[in-house]
Order: sequence, then structure tokens, then C-alpha cells
Amino acid sequence: MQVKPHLYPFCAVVGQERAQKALLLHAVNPGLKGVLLAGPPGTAKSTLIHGVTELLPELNVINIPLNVDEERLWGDWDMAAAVRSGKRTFVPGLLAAADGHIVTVDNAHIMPERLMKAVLTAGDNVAGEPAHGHVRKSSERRSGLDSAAFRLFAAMSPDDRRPLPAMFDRCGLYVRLETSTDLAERTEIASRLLAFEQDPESFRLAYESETKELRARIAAARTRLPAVHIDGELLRLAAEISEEAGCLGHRADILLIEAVRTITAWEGLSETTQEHLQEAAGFVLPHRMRAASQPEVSRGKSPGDLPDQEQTKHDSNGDHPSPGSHRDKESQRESQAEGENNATNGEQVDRSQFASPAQLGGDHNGEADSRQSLSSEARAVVEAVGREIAVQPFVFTSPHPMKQAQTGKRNQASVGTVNGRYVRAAMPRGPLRDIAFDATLRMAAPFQRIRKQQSSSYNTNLKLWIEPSDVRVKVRENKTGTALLFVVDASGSMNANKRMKAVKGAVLSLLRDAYRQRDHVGLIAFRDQQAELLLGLTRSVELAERKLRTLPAGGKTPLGIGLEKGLMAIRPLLNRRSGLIPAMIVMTDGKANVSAEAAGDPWQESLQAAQRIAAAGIRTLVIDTEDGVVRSGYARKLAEAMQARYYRLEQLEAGSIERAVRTLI
Amino acid sequence: MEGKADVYPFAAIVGQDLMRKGLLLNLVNRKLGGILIRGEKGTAKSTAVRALADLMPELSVVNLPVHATEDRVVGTLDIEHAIREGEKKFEPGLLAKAHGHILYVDEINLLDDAIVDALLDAAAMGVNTVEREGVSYSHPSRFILIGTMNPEEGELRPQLLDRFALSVEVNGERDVESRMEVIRRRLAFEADPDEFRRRYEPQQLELRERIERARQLLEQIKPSEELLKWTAAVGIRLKVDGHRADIMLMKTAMAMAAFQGRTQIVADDMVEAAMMVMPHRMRKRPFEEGAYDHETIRELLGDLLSEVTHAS
Repeated sequence: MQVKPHLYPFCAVVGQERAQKALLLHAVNPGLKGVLLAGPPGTAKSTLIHGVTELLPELNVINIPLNVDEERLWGDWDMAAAVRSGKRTFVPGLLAAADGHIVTVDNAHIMPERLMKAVLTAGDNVAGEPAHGHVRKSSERRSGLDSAAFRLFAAMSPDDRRPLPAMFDRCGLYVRLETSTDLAERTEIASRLLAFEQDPESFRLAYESETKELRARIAAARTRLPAVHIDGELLRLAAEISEEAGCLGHRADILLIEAVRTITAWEGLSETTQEHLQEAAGFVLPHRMRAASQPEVSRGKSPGDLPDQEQTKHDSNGDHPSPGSHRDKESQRESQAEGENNATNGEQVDRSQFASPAQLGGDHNGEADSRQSLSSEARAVVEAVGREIAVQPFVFTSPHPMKQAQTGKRNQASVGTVNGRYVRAAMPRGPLRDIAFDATLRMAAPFQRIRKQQSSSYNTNLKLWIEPSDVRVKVRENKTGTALLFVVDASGSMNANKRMKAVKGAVLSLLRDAYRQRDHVGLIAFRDQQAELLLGLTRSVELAERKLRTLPAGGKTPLGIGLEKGLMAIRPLLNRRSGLIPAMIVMTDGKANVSAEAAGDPWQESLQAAQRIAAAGIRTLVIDTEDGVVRSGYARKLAEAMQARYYRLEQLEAGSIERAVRTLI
Repeated sequence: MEGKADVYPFAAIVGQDLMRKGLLLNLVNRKLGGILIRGEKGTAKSTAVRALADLMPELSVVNLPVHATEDRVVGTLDIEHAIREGEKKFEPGLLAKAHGHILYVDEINLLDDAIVDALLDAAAMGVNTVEREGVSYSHPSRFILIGTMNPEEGELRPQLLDRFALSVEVNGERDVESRMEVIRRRLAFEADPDEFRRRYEPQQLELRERIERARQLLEQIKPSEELLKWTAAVGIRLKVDGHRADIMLMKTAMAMAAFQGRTQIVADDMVEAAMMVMPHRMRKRPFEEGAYDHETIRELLGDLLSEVTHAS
């Protein structure tokens, strides 16, 4: 059974013209790959992606819910048919059914990553990764999917979880929706929605003619589209723009061209203009642009850093070379070869420093410089898009495709936990829990005839015979992966020089990130003679924040005791079943001076605790809070003993502290 | 719902005016959008929700337990049928059961992510689509979502928060007299539920009739352009995300007027509605100091409050 709710008419949406335009362009030209709408809740994202499907009545709409599993996505054996005939019949999955049609995803950002990737790659004519343990099936799945090209309309709320980079890549057009702040507009929005709710049918009727007009315009634009040609110059400009924007591969160029052509056709013209290109870039580039050379290199280089420079390199840059800086050097080389020497000095290129197009255009006149002026045009386009993005900070916070592997680790697929999403079935290992009945039945189905004959001696009216070998269990994916335990030195030495304030600030910024990721957080503070578990692992970052604010400081440094306490708090989580990946973040200057044993050596005790933590395989990060010119380097030694990543507090300003923790997990 | 006989009567609940009103408004307009009740344990939250459904014979409460599995919530393959008949059949989950009724989630902030996602997905279009375990099925799923939570135990995801039309804070009664009355009634109820229910039957009936009347009145209420403008202005002033707040504010004010037996919305309706609709939408960052209490909102709205008097 399928139900279709009354949809709010697409054309009745107020104040989201850019989103409407993007969807309409896609309606005209499926070559645009997909549309991704991002915005806070309540900005008509879902209304729009479902509404536009009514403008394409000739296509089927496949809504992929968050509860989808791999079998439904890729297709599977028909159990009923197998029972009847004893033969395996393949039933195509949603992706195959979507071929040539429309796929909608309402909450793209919270769909299990694995499944979202399946959706994304299927549309790309690339056979997805086969489900585990179904090697034989996979060939069939692939063959059914080779042509699965569909229109993807997706909506997401960027604040909730980090979106999948592949999502950005797959969707040709991207629009960020904002809450309207225009009084008249908002009044109209509320008024229309109330009218729709009170009487959806007559409301829809009132917009019927406008809807028909839109359909006609789409049809007209479609017929016009093949005739819209792009001249060489515009082609080059498109290439330059995507180069300038630092987009990977050629997809951006192609999309840019397609978008420009479609816009032109939509406007009823056959010649493209610069404005069309600018508009196209606004749809195509924002989500593809490199997180423009964020100053990873310059960040955290306070004067005190200099003696430790190699360490800096090793820790914050060595592991994760900034993709931006490399590229920038390249483009810098190119532009120097062209004899252009503006705006590129020093190690980095700051895009915001580029001169305005008018200035550049004015500097270079004449035919010989036509390439130059095109470049400046390209820059102007990218600049304009960039400025728009500046008020959309989330695009920059999205991880670069290269970090994909990292985000993948946040999802754990495991057998035996009953929490989380059932993503696929597997052969049982160990005690039977959480049986995947659907998969079990599918396994049993083909053998029913034989078993029925063999078991004729049984007097039973069951229709199905299931044997232990048929049984499959559910593999569930849990998204709630991380538990961050902060072990904070609250001794007197921390209180000096306002170190505590800096530490609190650093932890706070991590807590903010933890909130977005919905990690578990916990807090241990050690001072004077003891370590105290101020907050057991909880989802309530608010509570953590409150505890942190009121954290008292002063007294001696029982470092070893603090570490030991941290180990105890984390140990129960090391069991994979907990569904949590624990990580310990130790903030201290390492100057231990209190031991647990009466006559113990505080420092040796700390080192031993550190080694035990390392032996337990806990991911750790030490943030050295020591400052001043002469440093003892205890925290560094501690980090070595713990096999922890080591950072100095000064290195970890703003975004980099989050990165440091994220790379830890 | 079987066994309504042992439900504490709604009319016998002492205090908690805001919560009671919020719950009742959801009966006046069943499409209002639910209510989130925030407060410490032992503040009669569950009692009130059960009592609410008891008021309306046709309404039932579908309980979504915190540890419910996704299969149980969205629906799954009917195993029994499959084994008996050798064919697939969809076994509806809680989202199907709750259609047209109350979906009650105690400690909603402790809900598994997968379940919250399922709620959000169903809420997006009012339809629950199931594509799993070899089953392909979709059914309408519109319900009155009532959640309770203790904020001390963690916050709710902003996206889910936004789905609630109303949010109210409840506290234990501070007043000794009221506290005594709470206990007195509770004891009387426990001693003889039937007798207790009989005693409150007239008040229950009255309340029921009032809601019915309000539902009829609501159909005649049309928001004026001025009031719509006012709600939009409030939304802009308080910088809430999205436009759901404006619409919910208007709808709540309309239900409020109807509940008071009027077809005219007055200024007080708007203000009172704002206090239930806006606060939880304003705290989107977890670290902002303090909750937005009525005073803060009153202060923020300032001149708008006097303006609404002219508008209505």
C-alpha cells in the first residue's frame, strides 16, 4: 500500500525563489544530477522537493525513508515466489525502480552513511558496494543497476549532523534556504499555510492554473534546451571558474555549462549571458568549492611556538596536509607564469585579497590580455559566490572529501546490539540474538518444497520450515559513536596565568562540537589529593558545560590519580557492544606532585598510569597547558608514554581543536 | 484503549495550569502539533497525558517506550504471517497505531537516534514510508505528539524540538496547600478509583463539552491580516529558525480563543500563545545562558505586545 498526501503546491511556496529555480532547472534538465536543499527546520525544504514532483507527473517518485535497509535498496530474492516455486526470483530494489525517475530523501543528513552512499553512487552509474556475504547476489545487483540514473531531490538540516561529502558531490545544484526576515513575506507564508491546512483541496485548486503554467514552461524550456549552445569563450570561462573555485575533477565545469544552458532555456533565450553564468555558479559552486585555504598553516603560531615548530608540523600538518595550501601554491605558480603578480605573495593566497574584477579588467586591456580578463571574470564569479557563502559558514565546516574515511569511523555496524538501525543481515556468530526474520525467511524459502516432502511425517499446518542454517541476525548501525572524557588538571599551577580560563574555553569549544555530533561527554577534574568524576558520560553537554563553569581550581597536582580515574571511567566502554568509541582528552601541564602511594614518586606513578592507558588501547590526546619561556616538557613525555597525540594549548585555537579531536576518533 | 477505568480524571489534576491548557489546546485543534512537557520527575506528566486521552473516548494513547526498536516503531515484516502463509505482510508499528491518536514519548530526550530519525521522517510529510525487510509500505501517520523530558538529562535535537507546537515547563507544586490537595486526591483515587471518577464525572463532562464547543468555534475563526503580521513580527524579532513558529503561534492563538468560547482572537490569546510556542525555538544553542522565561520574552517583545492590542 502506498499513500499520497495532499501536497502543498510548489508554486505557492513564498520566499524561496532560488530553491524553486534550482528545482525547476532540474525539472528541465536531468543532466543537472540532483538538487540539495539545506536549511534550518521549517523553511519548506520537504515541501519543495515533494512539490516539484507534481510538475513532473510523467515520472514516478520513490521516497527513500531513513528506515530503508540494503535489501530494499539493492533488491533481493522474492520470498513468496521462492516458497511457491522453489526458485529464486530477483526482485529489483528501490534504486533499480528509480531508474529514470525521481528519488526524494527528506532527511539526507541523518540517513545511515552506508545507505546514503549507496543511493549516491547508484545514481552515478557506479555499482555500489555489495552487501556483506552476498557475493553471488552482487553480480545480479550490479547488472540491475548499471543504468540507475535518477533525479535526486534531497533536503537536509545542516545544524543537526555533518553532511556526507559525497552528498555534495552527487547533487549538481545546491541551495541554502534561510528563514525569511521580511514581514510581508512571512505574513504571506503563514496565511497561505493556514489556508492550505484548513482546506487543502480548494487551496490546491486555486493554484492549479499556475501549476499548469509551470509545467508548460518546463516543457517549452526542454524543447529549447538542445538549441542553446555555449561558445568557446564561455566554455573556457566555466573551466576557469571551476579551477578558480578549486573544484575537483571536471564535474563542476560540466555542471556549470549545463546549468547555464538550462537557465538560458528557462528564460526563453538562446544566447547565454554573463548573468546566467553567475546565477549558475551560485547553484553549482557553493558546495564544491574548496574550503578556501583556511589558514591552517598560520594558525596557532604564537611566538612561543617557535622552538617547537617541528612538532607543530608533525601534529597538525603532517598528518593532514591542508589540501588548500597545496593547490594554492599550484595556482600561484600558474599565475606567476602568466606574468600576473597581483595578490599572490607569501605562502598563502587569500581569496578575499583578490582585486575586484573592475580593477583587474581595467589593468589589462587589449587582445593579448583577453585571457587575463577572462581570469578576472572567473575570479569575479567565484568571488560573488564566495561572498554569498561567507554568510553560510556551514559549507566550510563540512569535511573535505579526503576526510571521508574519517567520518566513516563514526558509524559502527555491529551484531548483537538491539539499538540502532537494522542495515543488513549476517550469519550469526555466537549466541542468537536479534534475529533478522526477513533474511532468515528468504534463506529458507527456496527449500520449502524439499523440506515439506521430507517432513511429511510431521503433522503440522505450518507453511514454512526453517532450519538453523537459515537463521540470520541483524547487523545494526549505531550513529551515536563517541564518548569524550575530559580529564582536566585543576591544580594550582593551572590557576596561574589564567590558564584555567583558556582550558575551559578549549573544552567548551569541544563541547559545542560534541553537541552537534551528539557525542557523550564526561568530565574528570583532579586537584589537591584526589580526582573527581564531575560528570559521568552523558549526552547532556549542557550539564557538562555547567560543571565546567563552576570547576574549582587550586592545590597540588595528583596527575596519576586523575589518569587512573579516567582509565576506570573508560574501561567499561572498551567493550564493543557499548556502541561508543571512547576517547580521553587530558589537559595538564604534567607537573605531578601528589602520588597515590604514601611514598610514591608522583611522576613515575603518572607515567605508569599513562602506560596502562596506552596498553588498554584508548585513544588519547594530551593538551599541554604549560606556558612560559622555559618549559619542563612533562606533558610531552606523558603523551609519549600514553601514545597520545600531543598538542599545546596555544596550537589549539578555534577550529583546529575540533579537528584534533575528530582525527583522534 | 482498554482499561480506561483506572485513569485519573483530567479534571482532578491540581495546578499545572500551563500544562493542562497546552494539552487541551491539542484537543481543540488536533493538528496543532503536539506539546513538549519539560520538568522534573514526579510532576504528574504521565498522569496528565493518560487523563487527556481519557477525556475523549475516541482518542487513545500510544506509548513509545524509550527503548523501543526501530522495527517496532516504523513497522516490520509480519513473521507469524510469513511462517503460516509463506507470504509477506506488513506488520504496522507504533507510527501506524498512533495515526489519529496521541503518540506519547516519556523521556523523549533519551530516545535512540534511529527512533528520533523515524519520528522526523514521518513528520516531514505526515506519512510513514517503510522500505525494509523486504516490505514496501506506506501509511498516513499524523498524530498528536506529546513528549516529556527532564532537561537535566540532556537536550532534544533542534530538529525534533521544532516539531513541537508547544512547550511548557512544569515544576512540583510549591504551595503547601496545593501539595496537600495533590496528595489528598491521589490517595482518594487510589483507595477507590471508580468512586473518585464518578465524583469528577460532571466536571469531566463539562470539560469535554467545552472542547467540543471550541472545536466548532475554531472552524469559524479566521485570522486577520493584522494578526498574521503580528505573528510574523514576533518570529522575526525572536529570531527563530524557519517559519513553523509563526504558523504554530497563529494556530495556538486561534485554539486559545476557541477554548475561551470566542470566535474573536484577543491580545491575551496571542501573548499567551507566544509564551508556549516561542521559548523552545529560541534556545537553539546549547550554551546560551538560562531559559527564555516569560519575562525575557515579554521584554524582547516590548512594543509588539501593546501593538497586538490594536491589531485584535
